[in-house]
Amino acid sequence: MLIGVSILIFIIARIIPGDPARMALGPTATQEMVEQYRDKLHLNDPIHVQYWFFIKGITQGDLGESVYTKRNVTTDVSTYFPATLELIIFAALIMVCVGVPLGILAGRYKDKSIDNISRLISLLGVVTPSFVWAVFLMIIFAFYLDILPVAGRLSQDTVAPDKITGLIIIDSIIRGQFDVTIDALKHIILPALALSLSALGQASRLTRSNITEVYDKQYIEMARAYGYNEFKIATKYALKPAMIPTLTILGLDFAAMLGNAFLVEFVFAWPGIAKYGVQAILYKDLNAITATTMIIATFFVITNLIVDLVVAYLNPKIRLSGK
Amino acid sequence: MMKIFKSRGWYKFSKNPLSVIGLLIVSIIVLMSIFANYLTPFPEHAGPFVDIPNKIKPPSSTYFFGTDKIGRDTFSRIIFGYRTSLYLGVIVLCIAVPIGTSLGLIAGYFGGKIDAIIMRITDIFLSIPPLVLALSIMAFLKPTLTNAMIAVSMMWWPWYTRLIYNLTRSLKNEGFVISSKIVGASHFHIIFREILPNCSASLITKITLDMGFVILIGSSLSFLGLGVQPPTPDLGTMVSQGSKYLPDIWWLSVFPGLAILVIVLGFNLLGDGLKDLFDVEI
Amino acid sequence: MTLLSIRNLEVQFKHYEGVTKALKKISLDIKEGEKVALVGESGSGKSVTARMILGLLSNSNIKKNGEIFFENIDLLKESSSQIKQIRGNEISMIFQDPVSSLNPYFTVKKQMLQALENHTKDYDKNTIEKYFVNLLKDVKIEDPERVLNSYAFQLSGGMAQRVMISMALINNPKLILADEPTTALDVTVQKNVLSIMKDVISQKKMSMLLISHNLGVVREFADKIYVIYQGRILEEGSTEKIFNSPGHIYTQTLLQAIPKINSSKLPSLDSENLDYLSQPKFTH
Repeated sequence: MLIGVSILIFIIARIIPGDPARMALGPTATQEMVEQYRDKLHLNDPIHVQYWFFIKGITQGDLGESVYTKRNVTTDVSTYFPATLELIIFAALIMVCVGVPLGILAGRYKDKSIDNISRLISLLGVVTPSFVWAVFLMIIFAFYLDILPVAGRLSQDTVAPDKITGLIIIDSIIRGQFDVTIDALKHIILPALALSLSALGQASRLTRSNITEVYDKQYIEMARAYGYNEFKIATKYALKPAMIPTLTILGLDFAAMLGNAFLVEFVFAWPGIAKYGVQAILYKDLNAITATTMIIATFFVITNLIVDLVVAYLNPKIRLSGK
Repeated sequence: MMKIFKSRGWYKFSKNPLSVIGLLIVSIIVLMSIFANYLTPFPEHAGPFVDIPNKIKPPSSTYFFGTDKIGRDTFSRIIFGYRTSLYLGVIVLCIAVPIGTSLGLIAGYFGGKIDAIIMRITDIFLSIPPLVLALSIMAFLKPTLTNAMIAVSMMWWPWYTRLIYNLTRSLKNEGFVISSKIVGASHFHIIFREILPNCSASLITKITLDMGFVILIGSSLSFLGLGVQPPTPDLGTMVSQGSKYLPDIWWLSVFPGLAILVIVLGFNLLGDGLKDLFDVEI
Repeated sequence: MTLLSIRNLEVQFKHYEGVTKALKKISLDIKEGEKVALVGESGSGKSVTARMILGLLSNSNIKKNGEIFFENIDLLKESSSQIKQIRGNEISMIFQDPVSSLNPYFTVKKQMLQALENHTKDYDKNTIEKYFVNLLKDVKIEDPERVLNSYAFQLSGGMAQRVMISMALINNPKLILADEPTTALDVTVQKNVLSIMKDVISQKKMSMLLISHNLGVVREFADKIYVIYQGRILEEGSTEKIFNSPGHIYTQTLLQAIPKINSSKLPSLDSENLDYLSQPKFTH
């Protein structure tokens, strides 16, 4: 799958008209400089040789140099990716902790008022682009109520803890700098919320429909006939069958947040990979774009793989048929 | 026309107020953007118009949603922005749906090697988050409306391939397909006369729902400056430019933002209504 | 001693097009140790009766009237927590489709344990598995240990229904309701499961309400039969009397509909042409 993605990205990068070397160096560069640069990027070699260099680079963790930052893009990616990871993990937490219970309630109390409220929230989540959420949340919480900061990962006078994982919240907890943790939390709430809302809507819609489906099953009636209490049915007996198919989609939603992170990081000046990616696109920074897309696709594929493994483990039908 | 309103389908559809609201939103927006030249108070504000004395006016009875830094009416620009959005949505789906549908039909109907190749490629496209794919395509193209349409179409067709593929695979084993095979109908006949018509309810529903989501993605691209360029009015661009002047000139980003929400909501409600009406899974 | 007594039970479903009367004042009695069958075609209200006894149909769109006495308490008037104490404990139920009645994501053992724990936390953890194994042996399951650790999809229909029967026995109920317990099974295993069920229930001296559309099944099994049609009991009496001298035309038609080896064609059961309801209830 990753090989396929790498070919796709490679093809997109190569077939589209325009000379990346010329774009990178700008109109003032001499033809000689452009040629030199083309050689450096292996652009003068035949296409399969180019792909070979590209793959070799990926496997060695060397994706070339960024035209814009003049650093190795692998270094750039490892600088910016943790910020994004922190953001989407936080957003995913919100999605799961709010979206799933909302969906369970809606499915359980189908067509009651709580269902309608939950569906309205999900619908608004789904139909509103995350950058619009970002703007709305910013106006309400950062400007109107003035209780949360507007941009960045930390306040200007706060020093980030020494890097362990690159996730500031976790690093600061490990190092015991709890004031930094609180500052970082304050900064992450709005972007994470903006990012999570559309995924949250999807998560709760899906949970709802799976829960309703399970509640129509014979084994739920059977459970009632055997005196299970409703709480136990809702939290265990119906939940497990409903959540297993939901999990696959949650994994997809989680990975898809990387796409929406582009929009949210842009609004909140969040120094993550998506912001780096947008910059790369604006500066036609070929290696940086490739690296960004590759890391996102890799993340996407790995997330799905993990989810598939978890689902296979949880679902006895798959687990036992594998043996 | 009156016949529609008397039909059983309309009765069922109109039972759900949300679907009717969706239909209303969509029809109003479509009509307004078609006749934008006559219906907006300041049609000339859609282009590179400058009216410095009236710049940065808050919402009022003259300028419903206020004016921007160079005095253009936000309301008029939103209506013209809808026109851009709808144009983008229609073109994207006109490209993506036929490509995706025919690939899905071919892969699902013939199976075997061709199935494997088409569905592998589809899976690869689906394994990149949609917006990221569009962005990486846009990265190598000039940011224009046409290119944005190409990029979004490129990421959209696989969803139709997968939908139609699954439908074709199950329809292929239905009695009416098998019986027309037995009487010696051509592949062409079976695909286009037997299978495709039975996919139409799902297709129409998905197209309606997607219209909203294509508009959403399109506005996201232009929000990042990678789609429609000024002075063409576009909702995403307006939010992006307006957000620079937060919080003082809030109306420049809030109203276009709401406008995107409303149109996507409209198509979504309408699509959900159709989904219930046709009783299809998407 | 009468264990269960249904008196003038009326059930109405309210829905968009109006009201459907599912049960029209039915009365039914089950004595201790008695096996009673409720026979009727689909839609006659027989499954609704079973679900009313356990209070499984509780919805604002359902209107109910009458009494269901179980050991002198009216189940229709009990609180839901009280009903929960009775469900699976004093009255348990066996459903039509055994494979889909078992939760696909939990093992048989886990579900049996839960059925037990719903009513008692006071059991010996060391001997409980032995108890389950014995219950499964009672229903003629050869390899109870394997079955205990299986999931529903690993069991055949007949096997799953035997598991359901032993699950119904866990708390030693006084009454077991069986809603078409063999209909979803292959014809070859139907008889087998039925005789297992009959033996184990007779042995444990439990009462049973068997719901079926199949008079052949009922004849082998029940002491007493109620014939239900469109929410009304048309005939009641001992199995012997109903089979030997059916009083109601509907019962007669039903009996004729049982395929016989020496008859070449089936008589039609054309309910649209005959107004069975015009004839009064026949009690033997």
